[in-house]
Amino acid sequence: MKWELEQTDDEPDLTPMIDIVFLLIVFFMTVASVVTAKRVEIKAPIATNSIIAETQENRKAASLKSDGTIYYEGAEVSVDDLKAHLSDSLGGNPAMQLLLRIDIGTAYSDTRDLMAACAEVGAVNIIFTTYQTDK
Amino acid sequence: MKATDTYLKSTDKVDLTSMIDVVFLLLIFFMVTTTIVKQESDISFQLPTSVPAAADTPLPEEHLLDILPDGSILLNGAPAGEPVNNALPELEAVLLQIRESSERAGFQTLILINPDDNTDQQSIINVLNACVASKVTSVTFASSE
Repeated sequence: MKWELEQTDDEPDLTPMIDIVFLLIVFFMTVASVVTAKRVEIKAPIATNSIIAETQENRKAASLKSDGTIYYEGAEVSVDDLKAHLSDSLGGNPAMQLLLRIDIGTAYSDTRDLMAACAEVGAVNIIFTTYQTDK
Repeated sequence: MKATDTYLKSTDKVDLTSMIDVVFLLLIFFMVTTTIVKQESDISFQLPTSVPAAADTPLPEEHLLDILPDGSILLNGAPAGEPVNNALPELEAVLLQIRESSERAGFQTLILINPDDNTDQQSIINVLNACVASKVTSVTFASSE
């Protein structure tokens, strides 16, 4: 039965390809879940001397979009809501750092109002979010 | 060889085609829905507070730094450079000189940033970036009142 033998030899071994494809799927699934984690989309300014933090512990994030809307931990809030949230967090951890993710095009008048609100409740350790390069 | 043997042999292998179809579909789905985000980095400073300083705290040498809406800088009222590719080389040089001379005199340098209302965030970050470059560590924002 020569014909049958040839046919079985013809079939390629798909095992390594399936291995790689599964690996890719797991990679993209993990990355996709990282992206959706509580981050409001902003375009950060560029600062070549900024540093990438080793740890994200001990900090809370507030975002300010260019239209002046404020987000705290992923949800849109008013200035008063933000103050209440910050007082709560500071009560449990006075050394808390506040990460301000401010969009590149935000006017200083909005930034100033936000910083004034932070200072009022005692959140004075501020970090501005930047990118190290424009790439 | 009997006919039944051949039959058994051919059905021995699992047909992977449909599984590969599904797996490729999943792969394409996750590739399309994923957007790679840029890694964010930090520039930090402290806001001024109304807490009075201890009596024996030496007064720092204060410098007022205005940022105009177009991103150009006034240091104590005098022009101190315009941004070039999000960097302020002139301001960096001046700040470095100021910091070194006040350090020799035993003072700390404090930079008070006072941006115009219409200044955008990139211009503010440019100044903070220049402060980091010239190793000025005491930086804060002037209160408008």
